[in-house]
Amino acid sequence: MADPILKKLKHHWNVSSRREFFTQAGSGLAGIALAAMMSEDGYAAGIDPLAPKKPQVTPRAKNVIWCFMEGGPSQVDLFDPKPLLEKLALQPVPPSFHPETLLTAQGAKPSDGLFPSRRPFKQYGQSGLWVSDWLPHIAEHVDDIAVIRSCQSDAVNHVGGVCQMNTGSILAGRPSLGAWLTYGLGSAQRNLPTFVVMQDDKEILGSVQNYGSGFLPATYQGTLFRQGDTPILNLKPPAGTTDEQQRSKIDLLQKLNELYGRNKQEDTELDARTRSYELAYQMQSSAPEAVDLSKESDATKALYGMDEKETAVYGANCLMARRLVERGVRFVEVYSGSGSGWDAHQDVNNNHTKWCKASDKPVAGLLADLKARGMLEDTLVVWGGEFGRTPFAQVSAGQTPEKYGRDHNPWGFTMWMAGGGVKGGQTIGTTDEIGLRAVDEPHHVWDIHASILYLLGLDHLKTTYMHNGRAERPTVTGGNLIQKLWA
Amino acid sequence: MLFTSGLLNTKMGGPGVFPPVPAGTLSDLSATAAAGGWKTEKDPAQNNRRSVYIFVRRNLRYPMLQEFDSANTFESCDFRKNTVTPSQSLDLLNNDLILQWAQSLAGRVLNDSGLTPDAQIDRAFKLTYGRSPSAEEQKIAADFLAKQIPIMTQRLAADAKAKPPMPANMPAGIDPARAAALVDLSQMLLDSNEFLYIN
Repeated sequence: MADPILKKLKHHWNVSSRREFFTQAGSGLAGIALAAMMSEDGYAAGIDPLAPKKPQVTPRAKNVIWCFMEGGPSQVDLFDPKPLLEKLALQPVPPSFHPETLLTAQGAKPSDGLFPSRRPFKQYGQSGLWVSDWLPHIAEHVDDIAVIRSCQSDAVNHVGGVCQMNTGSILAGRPSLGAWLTYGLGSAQRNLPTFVVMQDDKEILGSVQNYGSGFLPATYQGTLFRQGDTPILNLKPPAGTTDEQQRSKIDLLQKLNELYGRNKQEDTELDARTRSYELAYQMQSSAPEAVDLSKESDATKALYGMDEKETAVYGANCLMARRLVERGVRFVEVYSGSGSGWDAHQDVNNNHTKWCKASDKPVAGLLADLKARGMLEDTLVVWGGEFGRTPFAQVSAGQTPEKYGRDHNPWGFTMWMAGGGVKGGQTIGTTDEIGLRAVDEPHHVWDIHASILYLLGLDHLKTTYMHNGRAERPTVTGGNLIQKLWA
Repeated sequence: MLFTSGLLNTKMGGPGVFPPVPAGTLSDLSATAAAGGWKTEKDPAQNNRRSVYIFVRRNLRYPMLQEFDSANTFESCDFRKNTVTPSQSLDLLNNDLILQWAQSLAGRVLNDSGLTPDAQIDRAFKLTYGRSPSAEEQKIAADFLAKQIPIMTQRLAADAKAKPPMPANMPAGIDPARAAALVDLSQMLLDSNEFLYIN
C-alpha cells in the first residue's frame, strides 16, 4: 500500500468484494468493523458491487443505446460521399493512396477498381449534413447527430472487429464497455439487468466475448435477451407458487451460499451467482412489465416501424431499448444484422438495401421517441459497425458492376452519436478523397470508448481494475477524448 | 442434477432426443417446422438422457443448454466461455424440468425409510453435497421447512390450480405439507453454489 504508484492507481472509489475492501482499507480496524457491519444486514458477502457510484467527471448522459450495425456498413454509401469515386470509377486505386499497403479480409484487390456509390446523397437539416437516400429517416435527425467520419479499428476481420468495438481489443477476454460502465457507475435500479444485449438475426459473431465481464467481477456482464415474443424465459414461477414461498426459497439459497462462500471471497463468480438469484427474483415482478410492448400505443409502434414487415423486428428491439433505459438500464446494445448481416462482400446494393430498410426507421423512431419524451438529453445513442467497407470493389468472376461488393475497411469509417450531451449537426474528421483512410482527426475505437465513458461521467484513465499486477483500463493503452462531440 | 435426483437415463447411443422446451420458445420452434420442428418426447424417460443426446438444431439451441453457455452452433468453438446471468437463475428457479428433478430428489429422500424429520434433512444434504449438514445448516434447513409447511398447507387446501408439486413416488403416511416443503428444499440444494461448483 505504501507504494506511491499503486496508491495513485488504486480504484479506491470502487470496492467490489469484502477482500478488496480489506485490502484497500489497509486492513485497519475501522475497516474491519465497517465491513462486518455491512455484511450483517444481508447474507451476501462483501459490499454491493452494483451500488451507484459517484461519477469522476460531470456526467452528460445516464444511459447508452448502441445501435450496432454488425458486419460493417459502407461509409461511402451512407454518410461520407466521395465525388472522386465517380471520376475514377472502375479504375485502380491511384498509387498516391498507397494501395500496396492494404491487406483485405477476403482479398478484394485495390486494382479491381474504385466503386462509386450508386446512391444519391443529399444535405439535410439546418446543419446540411450529408446522408444518402438509403437512410431517409435517420437523415431527418441530422441536427441532433454528430457524424464521426474518421473512425479506425485494428481489426481486419469480424470476430476481432466486433470484439474490439465492444472490449477495446481484437482478442477475446477483456471486459466489454457495458461491463466497464456498470463497474464504474453501478446501477440505478435493482429490478432489471444493468447491461442488456439484443439480436435481430443470428448470433453475434464471438457471442459472449462481446458482452462478457472479462477480468472484471462476473456480476458486470451483459444479459442477452432472446429474440421473439419472449425475451426472457422462465420469468413466471411455477403455477400456484406464492410470493412468500418464492421469497423464502431465495432466502434459503442466500444462506446456503453465504456459508459455502465464507472462505472463497476471491471467487467473484460465486458472489455473482448469489446476486443473480436476487436479481432473478426481482425480475419476476418487474421484467414482464418492462418487456411488454403491448403497453405502447399504435402510434408509438408505428414510429418504430413495427407495423411494417421489414422493420418490425428491429423496431421492436429499439422500442424495448427505450423501455429498458426508461427503467434505469444503463447500457443497451441493439444489434442490426446480428451475425454479420451488413457484411456486403457481394452485391452491396442488395445487402445494404435490406439492412438499411430494416434499421433506418427504427433508429429514427428511437431518436424521435427519446426526444419527445425528454430522454434524449440523458441517453446517448451510438450508431456504427465494427468497421466500414472499401471504396474499391470486391469482384467475383463473371460479375457485372451492379453486383459488386465491398471488402472490410478498418482504416477509415463512419460512426455517429446523438443525445446524451452530444452536439448534433456536425461532422468530425475526414477520410481521404476516396473514403479509404481517415486523414484528419483519426479516431481509434479507444477514442470512441474514452468519449462514451466521459459522457457518462467516467475518466477512462481512472477507471481501472487491478488484474495480473496491472491497473487495467477500458481503453487498453490508448484513448483520446473526441472533445468536439460536446465542446 | 438428473443423477442426484435419481432420474438419469444412462442409455447410450441412438438418435437424438427432444426434451420439453419452456413456453415462449414455440415461435422459434415453428420456424424450424420445415426441418421437422421440435417433437417433444412422449416417453419421459427419454427426457432424462445425458445432454449429449439432445438433438442439436443449428438455428435453435436447446434453451437450457444455451443459457448455460453451450457451444455456439455457427462457428468452431476455441474454448468454452462461462457466464453468470439472471436468466440462468430464472431457469434454475422456475423451469418445470428443474422442478421435476427436485420432486424426484424429494421422493428419493422420503423413500429412504425410517427417517426422522432431522434425518430427512441429513439425507437431502448427503445426496446433494455428499456430506452431512453442519449444525448451522441443519438449523437453517429445519427453519426453512417450518416456514414452508404452513404455505404448503394453504396451497393444498386451495383449488387444484394452486396445489404444490409433490415428491415423486411419495410413500404413504407422510404429511403432504411437509413433503411439498421438502421439494422446495431439494430444489434449493440443487440450485446452491456448493452443488453447482466443484470446490
